[in-house]
Amino acid sequence: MMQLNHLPDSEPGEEVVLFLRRHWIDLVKVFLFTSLLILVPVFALTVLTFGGIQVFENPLGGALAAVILSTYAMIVLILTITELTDYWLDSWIVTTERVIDIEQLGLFNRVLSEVHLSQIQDITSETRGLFGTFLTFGNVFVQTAAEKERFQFKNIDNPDQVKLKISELTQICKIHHHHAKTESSSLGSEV
Amino acid sequence: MTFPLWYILVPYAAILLFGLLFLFFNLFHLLRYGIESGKTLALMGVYVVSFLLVAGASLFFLSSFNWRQEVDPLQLLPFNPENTKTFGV
Repeated sequence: MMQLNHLPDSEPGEEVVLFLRRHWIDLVKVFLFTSLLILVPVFALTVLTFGGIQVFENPLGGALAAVILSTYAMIVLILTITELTDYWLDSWIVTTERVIDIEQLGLFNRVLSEVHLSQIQDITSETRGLFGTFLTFGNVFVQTAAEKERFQFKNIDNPDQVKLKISELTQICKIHHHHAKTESSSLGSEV
Repeated sequence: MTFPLWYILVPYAAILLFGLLFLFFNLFHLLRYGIESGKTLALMGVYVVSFLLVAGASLFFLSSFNWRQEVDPLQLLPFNPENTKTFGV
């Protein structure tokens, strides 16, 4: 497991400032979808019963229906678990030195990107729609000078505050780097 | 033409194994890539418990049938005179 206080390739004194996941509304969507899937066989059995078809009275039909229902339940469970894993493993980490974007794309596809704060050129936050406005979730876009030009924080909580925090950290980082450059160039001129 | 009813359990067994495999994949991903915290461990516990509950409930449900009996696929057809009970005729 990854430890937040021991991130890979961390610099001395680097601290985690923000650890973000997608807003809980994405979990609600998963559970709503699961509930819908659960209702499908319930609806089908209700329709059959009202149509006068007693599925479980027939030895073969009943057994077949039982197997189909059991198989369906297992498939719905696995789909739900996989979606939950996808939600749980999607995360964004903002430290005092860098931004790390961890994106889980399905089960066997994972993209991990990072950019140093000094390479950040622009930060934009976006809140859209009724739910986004009232539940305060949205996207943050980070434009960089790195190989990956744009980082997107998808459906995170309080995108405006996240944007402000990253801006603040970026400013601090750039000032530190400027001071470090000035000191090393003045040392170099003395030599 | 009759066949033993347990034949139709074979695809279910395959799905159960497939489900177990995917449970393992999900647990592996959480263990390998998840952030070390109580919540991650709790989520893994939820996965295991949910799987056991669904598998247990379905096995309990399936155990109510006599799988050793021989069945005729024609039993499923509505115009089969033996199907008065199933189709309310």
